[in-house]
Amino acid sequence: MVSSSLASAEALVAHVLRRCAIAPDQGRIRRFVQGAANPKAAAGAAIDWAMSAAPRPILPAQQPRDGWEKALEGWTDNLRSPDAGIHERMTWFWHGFFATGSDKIGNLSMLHNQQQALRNLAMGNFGTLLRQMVTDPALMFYLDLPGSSVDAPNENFARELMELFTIGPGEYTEDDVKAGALALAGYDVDYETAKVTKRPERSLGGEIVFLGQRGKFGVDEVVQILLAHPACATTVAGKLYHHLVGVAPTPERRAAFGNVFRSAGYEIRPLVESIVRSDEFLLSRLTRPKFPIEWWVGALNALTPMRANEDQRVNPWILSSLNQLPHRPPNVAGWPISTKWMSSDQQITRASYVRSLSWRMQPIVATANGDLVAQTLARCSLYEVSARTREILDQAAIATAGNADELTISRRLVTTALLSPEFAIA
Amino acid sequence: MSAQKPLIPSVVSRRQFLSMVGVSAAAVAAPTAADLVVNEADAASKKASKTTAKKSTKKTAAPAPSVGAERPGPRVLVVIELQGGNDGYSMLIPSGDGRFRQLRDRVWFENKDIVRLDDRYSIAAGLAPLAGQFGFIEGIGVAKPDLSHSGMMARWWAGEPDSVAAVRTGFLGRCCDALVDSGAIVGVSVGGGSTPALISERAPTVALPDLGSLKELTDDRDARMQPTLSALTNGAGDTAGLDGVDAGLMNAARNGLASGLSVVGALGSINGKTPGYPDTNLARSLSMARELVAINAGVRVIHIPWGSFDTHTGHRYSHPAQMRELGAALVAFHNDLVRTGLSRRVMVATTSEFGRRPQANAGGTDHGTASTALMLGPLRPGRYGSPVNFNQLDQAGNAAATVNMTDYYATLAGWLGIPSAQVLGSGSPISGIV
Repeated sequence: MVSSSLASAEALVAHVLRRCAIAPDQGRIRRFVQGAANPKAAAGAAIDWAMSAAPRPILPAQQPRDGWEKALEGWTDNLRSPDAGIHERMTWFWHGFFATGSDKIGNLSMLHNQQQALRNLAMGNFGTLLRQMVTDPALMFYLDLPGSSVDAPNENFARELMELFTIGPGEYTEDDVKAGALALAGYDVDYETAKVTKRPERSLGGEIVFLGQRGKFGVDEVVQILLAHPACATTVAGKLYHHLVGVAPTPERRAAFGNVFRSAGYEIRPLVESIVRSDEFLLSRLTRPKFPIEWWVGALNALTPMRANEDQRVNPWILSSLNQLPHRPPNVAGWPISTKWMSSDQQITRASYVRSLSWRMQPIVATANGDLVAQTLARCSLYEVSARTREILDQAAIATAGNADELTISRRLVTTALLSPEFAIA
Repeated sequence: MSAQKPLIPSVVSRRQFLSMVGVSAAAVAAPTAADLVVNEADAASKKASKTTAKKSTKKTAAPAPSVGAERPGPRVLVVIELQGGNDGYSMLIPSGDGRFRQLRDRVWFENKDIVRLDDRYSIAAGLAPLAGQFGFIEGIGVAKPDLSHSGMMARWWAGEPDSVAAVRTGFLGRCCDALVDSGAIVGVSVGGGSTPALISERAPTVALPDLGSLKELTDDRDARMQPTLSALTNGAGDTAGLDGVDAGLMNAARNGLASGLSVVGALGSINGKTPGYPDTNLARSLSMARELVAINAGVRVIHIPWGSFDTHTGHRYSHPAQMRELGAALVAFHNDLVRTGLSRRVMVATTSEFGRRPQANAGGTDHGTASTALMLGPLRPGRYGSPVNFNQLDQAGNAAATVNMTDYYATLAGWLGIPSAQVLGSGSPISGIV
């Protein structure tokens, strides 16, 4: 953990925005720093803003097969918006949590409706969200629930429901998977209209034993039993903690935030509040690899910031090469927190992307202060860099001064900053 | 990845069919390079039927690909990781096993999707063009399986059949460590980013980026860019000025950039544009693999994650379609290797975290345990391991493995000349294949 007593207000605010939004916006950083009594107050103001930022508007409804690109651009516009706060962050978190791949779902409106549900409930109640996801047509198709019959139940959904969405591995047996599959069997989903229908003749008629309880269970009871299971709140809170704080929680912290979540009746907002206002949150800077989507939005903020009410679209397909295209998770477990996001393929793809996009950047102009490097770092919202990285930037600035035009110098400096180890870390 | 275009018709040529019916080491051992060439016209002709297939031995449809002079060099292992849990019983199909046939009744294949080999077995139609050249290993698994994707993927990546808790490296990464003799890149993963399978102690292993990105970097107009980026890769452990930051993360980022730049230098010449491959992700990855072998830059282990084999639904459609994609890509790869004189140096082997449940659900197959893997290359074709017993299923409904994952891995290590004890805690090579 980085000591916060030494951190500047800019560094703390940038950290808050990296975690509570998608990537810091330079204008916002300035706003919170100006007029704050001290760095911690600036960080507090940033957290207040992020937590109260209005939800980004629901994307316009997509016609079925209206084109994947349009849907994708709508989402990436929201991710890139300077107004994106905790709502956008949590929508993204839940997308990775209930990861649903478009490869098994050709009906775009299903994906669109799922995203609407995630947006609506991103800061709502987890129990409601879970219940809605269990019969969400896109997730049902992704996990093969439609058509499952009590005579020959499909286990996929029941297994992932326990392993990934609620209580976690080690808390259930193969018999529970089989029982869960029986309880969830009997649904049909119309592929065109996305209408979900329960077929009694293919549904459970008798009793089962599921996680130690006996009864004639359906979807509602299964969700209730899972929510009441002691491991559920702890597991889900632990995953969110890891995402927001950047380090895996200790068993004690996991239990503590699990208790917060449980006693809040699975309301998401109090859990998020308690995590981002915890002692460790501001200290846990530069603790996890940036996800490609965070890197991408951050890099674009440095190279070609999106301005309010101005359509400055950048083709989002680079996210495919970076292996984090929305609705293309590697599998139902979503995108892992991993140094995978710093490896050779990422770095080369990123380097090549920055180097081509940076020919279009707004050059950095030397001011009276004359510190091109400081301006470069601010452009990239990097307020904490190692002496080594600063030295490399200083040398690049010295070596090129006078010999190159403004754009070439700016491009060299910003590219270097965006490929620095610090910029790869959130 | 789910592009599933049928690329090879369901008919195996008579030549291949005959060689598989009597499959034995003696019958097909030590084929010449010319024998190894698969006539793509035989395989790919949409009009092929049993009648035309018989005629196709005349090779009138198209000239056979040329056969290049053998080019010496070290052996290379290409592992295709079949993602999602591949049903090995749908590659080499125990169609003569009455119990199996009964368990799979709900998802049994259409006639066009399987080709009968003998009284006991059929083969997925997509693989039929290479039927006489595969080594199939039946019954691979672990003693105490679990049925979770992530749990079993971790074990397969680590090469550790029981618990991965204490293992930090991947099996393929350890193979790279055993082979490393300079700073050259030894292991490459193609198509899916970096993988735990290739985590090594010493040997450089990389994930190959988009070839377009490689090109962009080598062509930059600003000559000063490269040295500046290179400077960012130095300074392992240096976090001065950032007290308390995770030095491991700083190093991971520097190393990633360093490996990336080394890829540009060492492997940047490959272009993925060899003609003759189908337009699929797997075929593209394999064509890059062939180039990686050809440039002799030190790469010995190539990992290609591919497919979506979690066939809980639509098993009878999606599995055959993926077998067609696999078969077509392997035919192109194989012919390309023969053409360029590299076929004696390259072994292809598949892995997957688990197989599928023998008893089908309504339209698919749930998570299973033991499975069949295939190998292709300079090997003695045939069946290895031993079939699982479909009459003896565990409580979850799965058959016990007959071959441990580590024996299979020991076989692959053996191909690379690595004693299994150097890279595995247990296991010994399956005799006779290589």
